[in-house]
Amino acid sequence: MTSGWSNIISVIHTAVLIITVFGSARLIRKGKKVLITVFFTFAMVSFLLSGLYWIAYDLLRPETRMPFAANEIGECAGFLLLAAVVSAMNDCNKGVDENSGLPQKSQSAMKETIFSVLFTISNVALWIAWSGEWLEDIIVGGAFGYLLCVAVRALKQRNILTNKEWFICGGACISLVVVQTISFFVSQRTHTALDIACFTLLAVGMLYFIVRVIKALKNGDTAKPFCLSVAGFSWVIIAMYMNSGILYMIALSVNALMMILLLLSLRKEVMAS
Amino acid sequence: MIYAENILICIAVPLFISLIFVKGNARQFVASFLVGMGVCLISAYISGFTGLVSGLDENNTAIFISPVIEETLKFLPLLYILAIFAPENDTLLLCSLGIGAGFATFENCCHILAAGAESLTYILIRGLAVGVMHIVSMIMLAMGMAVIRHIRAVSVSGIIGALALSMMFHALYNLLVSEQGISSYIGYVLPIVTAILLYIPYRKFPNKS
Repeated sequence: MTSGWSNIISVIHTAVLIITVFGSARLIRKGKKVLITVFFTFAMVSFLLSGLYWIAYDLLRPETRMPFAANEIGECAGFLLLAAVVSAMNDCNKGVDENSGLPQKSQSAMKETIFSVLFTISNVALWIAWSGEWLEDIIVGGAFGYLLCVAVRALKQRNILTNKEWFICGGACISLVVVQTISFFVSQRTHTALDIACFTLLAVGMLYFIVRVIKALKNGDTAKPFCLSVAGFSWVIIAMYMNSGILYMIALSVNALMMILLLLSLRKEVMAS
Repeated sequence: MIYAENILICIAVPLFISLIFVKGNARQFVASFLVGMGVCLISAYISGFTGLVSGLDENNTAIFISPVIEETLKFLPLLYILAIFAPENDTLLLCSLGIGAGFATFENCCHILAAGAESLTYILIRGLAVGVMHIVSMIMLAMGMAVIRHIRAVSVSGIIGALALSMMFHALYNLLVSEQGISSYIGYVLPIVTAILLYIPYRKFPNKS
């Protein structure tokens, strides 16, 4: 039953990705910020290939476990290419200093970057403890961590979050890691309760980012939506990797929604240029 | 059991001799073709060894290990050319084509010698699928590298991302053709469709960097 639902949601997710790929390919034809739109299309193609691989494997070898999750290569490609989009966009949006004529110095995001590196390392340690596949988890964690750092730096440099919001985000991340670590040492019943508590926290975060992106899109803001949607996308990935079964499927459905928001916010930023 | 090294020597020697007499683009192409064949042999060694060490059978090695090793090894000479010679876009694409074509040719030669060449239909499918797949993945990679190389902020993540994308494409192809039936037909068509789609940006791609 769960497998049937899982397949349906995977197919819907893939269908959304196909739409996103076509949408971003149409953006390339507009001829604005071509490099950024090309990277974005490639990132979406990577996620699409990863999704197709997963479905094909499920259909062709339903009873066999992958000895090495080859579809995660596609996810790594997607993370790195999406990080390239954010970096390139950040570079494009740097203004020029009126006095010196040199590019403006960006606000330092050192603390936030260090925090996101530590958060990624903690997550990778948890993934290894859950799955035991240390090499895969380190590779995926490296690519995901890079995306997270780039997204956090962009959020800081564009002044998108207030100090209070940064504080709440940091608190949520620490709580997640601490609660998930505790869940290794408690009974099964308490473990389930802690898992649900963590997912509730992750769900609140996902909802928060979705609302912020939609609000920013409605307000006609061009600089904020894309950074917020990349940050939201990263949060959804954490939710996906931290859960299994029905909770994973919920996170996968939200991921499909985030893909659409990513495309819409990129479209807004590209068209405004 | 085939003697892949002997086959390589047999095919490579005339090409190697021809290197002395050809010049310009033709020489670059022939040299890349030879490199592609060498890379194919080395990747077969490494894939076989990795499969053996990880305890996977031949089929699973082809599905899970080979795409990663083959794409990485095809990428390395291209990276070397890019880093040392800093060529123009057209030269980079030519070299990538040569490496891809050399790799596919040598792989097909070994496969035909091992499995037989009685069925023309199978040989045609094999040629059009594997042959095109290696060329397509190399062109994707070279185009990505040509675009990305001048943008410092994205060069590393972009190039590794493009490499991972070509691995994923290769892995999906290997998975689809690993089982008989409709999935294998989709797998055989995948490289040709991608080649047609890729031809549009390839035609418009600037020759100079």
